[in-house]
Amino acid sequence: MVVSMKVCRILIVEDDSAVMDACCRILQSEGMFVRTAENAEDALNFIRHEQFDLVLTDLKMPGQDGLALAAAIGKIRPELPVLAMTGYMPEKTAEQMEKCVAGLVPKPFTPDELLSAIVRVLRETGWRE
Amino acid sequence: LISTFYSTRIRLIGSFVGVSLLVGIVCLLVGGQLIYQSVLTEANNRVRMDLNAAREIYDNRARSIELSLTVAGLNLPVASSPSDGDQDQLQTTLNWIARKTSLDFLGLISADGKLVMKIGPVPDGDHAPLNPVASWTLEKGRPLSGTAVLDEKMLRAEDPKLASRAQIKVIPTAGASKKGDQAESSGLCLVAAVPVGDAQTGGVLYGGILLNRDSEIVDKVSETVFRGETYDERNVGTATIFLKDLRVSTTVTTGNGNRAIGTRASDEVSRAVLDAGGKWTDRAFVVNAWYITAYEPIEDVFGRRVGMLYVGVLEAPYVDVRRRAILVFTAITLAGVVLAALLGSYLSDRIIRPLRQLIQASISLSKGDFFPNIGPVSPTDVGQLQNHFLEMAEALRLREQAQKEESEFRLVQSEKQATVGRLAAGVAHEINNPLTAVLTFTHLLLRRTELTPEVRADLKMIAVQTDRVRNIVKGLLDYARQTRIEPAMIDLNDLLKETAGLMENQALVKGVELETDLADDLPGVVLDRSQMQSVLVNLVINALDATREGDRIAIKSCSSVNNETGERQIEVTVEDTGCGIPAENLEKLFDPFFTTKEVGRGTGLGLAVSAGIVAKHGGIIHVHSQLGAGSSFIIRLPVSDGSGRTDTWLSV
Repeated sequence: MVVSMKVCRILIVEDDSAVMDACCRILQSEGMFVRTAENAEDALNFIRHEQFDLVLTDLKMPGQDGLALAAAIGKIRPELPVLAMTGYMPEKTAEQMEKCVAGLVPKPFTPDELLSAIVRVLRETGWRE
Repeated sequence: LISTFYSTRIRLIGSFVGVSLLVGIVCLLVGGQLIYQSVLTEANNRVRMDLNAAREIYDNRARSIELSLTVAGLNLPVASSPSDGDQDQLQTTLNWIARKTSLDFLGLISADGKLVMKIGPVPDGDHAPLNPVASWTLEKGRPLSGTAVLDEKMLRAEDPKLASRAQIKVIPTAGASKKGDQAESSGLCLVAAVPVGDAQTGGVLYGGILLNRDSEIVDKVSETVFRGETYDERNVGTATIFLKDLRVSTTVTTGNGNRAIGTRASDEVSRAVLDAGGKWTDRAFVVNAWYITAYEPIEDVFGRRVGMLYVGVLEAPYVDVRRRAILVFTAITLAGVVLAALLGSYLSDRIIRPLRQLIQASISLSKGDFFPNIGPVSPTDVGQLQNHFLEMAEALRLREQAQKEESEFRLVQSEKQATVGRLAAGVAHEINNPLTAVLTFTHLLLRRTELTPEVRADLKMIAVQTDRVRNIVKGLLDYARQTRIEPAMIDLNDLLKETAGLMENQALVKGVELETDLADDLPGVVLDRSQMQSVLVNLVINALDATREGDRIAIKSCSSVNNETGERQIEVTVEDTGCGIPAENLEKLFDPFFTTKEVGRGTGLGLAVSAGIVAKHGGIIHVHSQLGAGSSFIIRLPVSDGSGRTDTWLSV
């Protein structure tokens, strides 16, 4: 799948370096601008100072988890879509997620699955090339 | 409950006692009365015969006086004015006769009616009144004997002592007549008169005895008829001679032992005997005790009723016979009652004991003892009850056992699910991250164009196998996830038809016949349509895997009643004629990761997930299988009351 989003800026928040590497490689192979953060605090710092089109975050992280991050983003950058990825999601999390998360990619995913999820979220939020 | 049986027992015994008491009392009354009547009749007969005997003795005495006078008259020197020597001899003869025949008075009258000679003191005047019997014989010239009443004047003429002996003062007694004179001065006499000598020189010899205060006849009656029998120190038999209704000669004694001379008969007796002239036989109160009595009138020589002859026997012996009979009957009745009570007690015990044991047994049964002791089975109809009870206990035991097995099965299932669920959640989360990396980099490598076909094939193999891992983990998560069911009222048959439609093609390809057998009258059920469909699809896929060409798969539905709760339920059955399941696998069938399919064909989670979904709907899956003949999976779902089960979670 080839999506033209060359100027698309994406922040990846993931504590697992293997997954982080995988995500970076997928997005960079599509020519996207990628920033990485290992935790929510770092991520929020980036968001305060830089412009992003989408945040791709793991849900389960040490410290502030993905949901809290999404909630915080909703406060400071309500227009910024958050795409969550998770290997296991309890029902309760799914309910809370609906309010602050634009989409979900279940782990494990193939590169195409991740990319199509990103494209879907970007289109839904009205992103223009 | 026990007390009710006690009262049943008491009622039973009471009935026995009541019947015996009733019979006893009737016997007592009827029997006692019959016996009394018969002894009374016997006593009446006896007393009548005794009266006849007494009458004979009385009449004999009169005749004996006449006879002795007749004999004496034959040798008597008779003259209207006998000489002195003759007079002495005559006097001597008369005295001798009187002494020998115990006469109270004796006299010789000349043909002109003058007194020639008599015993005892000579009266003052010549004009002494002649006694009526002597007068009659003098007039008629024929002998006469019998009873006569001599008034005080006549008695005084014979002997003043006789007149005073005849004086009887009336003594009032209970039951006696109160009317009449208060004293009696006439004398009741037995008198005989015979003509003696020829017509010129002859006369009349007369003599007699005064019965007033005389005891000769009554004592003789007492001796010859009653033989001096006594009862309770009383004479059994009594005899009395009445002047009119007054006792003038009697063996009846008053309380102080004196003869009851001067007491009167009752009005009733007087009327019946003296006035009406009949015999009278009945029980009567004589002076101071009850007697069975017989009276008959005494007529004087001229046919006038001047007195009564009486005999009586004490009623006491006969009353005692009745009393003894009543006592015996009472004793028999009491013995009968005791016997009836014992018998009733014994019988009721025999009847009640098995029932009480049944009650105890049913209490034990309700406490969960399925082999209660009901004692020996009775050969009576109670035995039927006991046998039915045993059958019931056995049925309950089997039901209880089935329920226990099912609830144990449910418990084991849910424990397994919970354990596996926790494990799966943890494992899945940890595995998914490395899997993401493997999948990503494999796919990224595959995008490269410079790969040799060999390397590309190897990379594809890595991608496919990683996908397998992904599917296994996904199945695990499906099993473990606390997925909420979203129930809605649906037509289950509709769902079954749809499912059959979905699987039709696969069945067709395999050459297996897929048929449906759906009941028309299914009640509506509330369930999560998509989850239940995945269960059904899973079951049909399993069935397809177990079957070969020519086999048959049937999807059935029907409604039934839950053995455990007694509520209505729906049964959905997916059965096949496939290879069947070995017995040792049946237990593990619903365990996660248990599979008999070849590697890569199944995760071993399908049935485990299905069981979880069915459990969330409050139902249960059962499996019956026979190796080589096929299997049937039965889903039992409770019929919803319409409130739904939106809050049902699979507990993990």
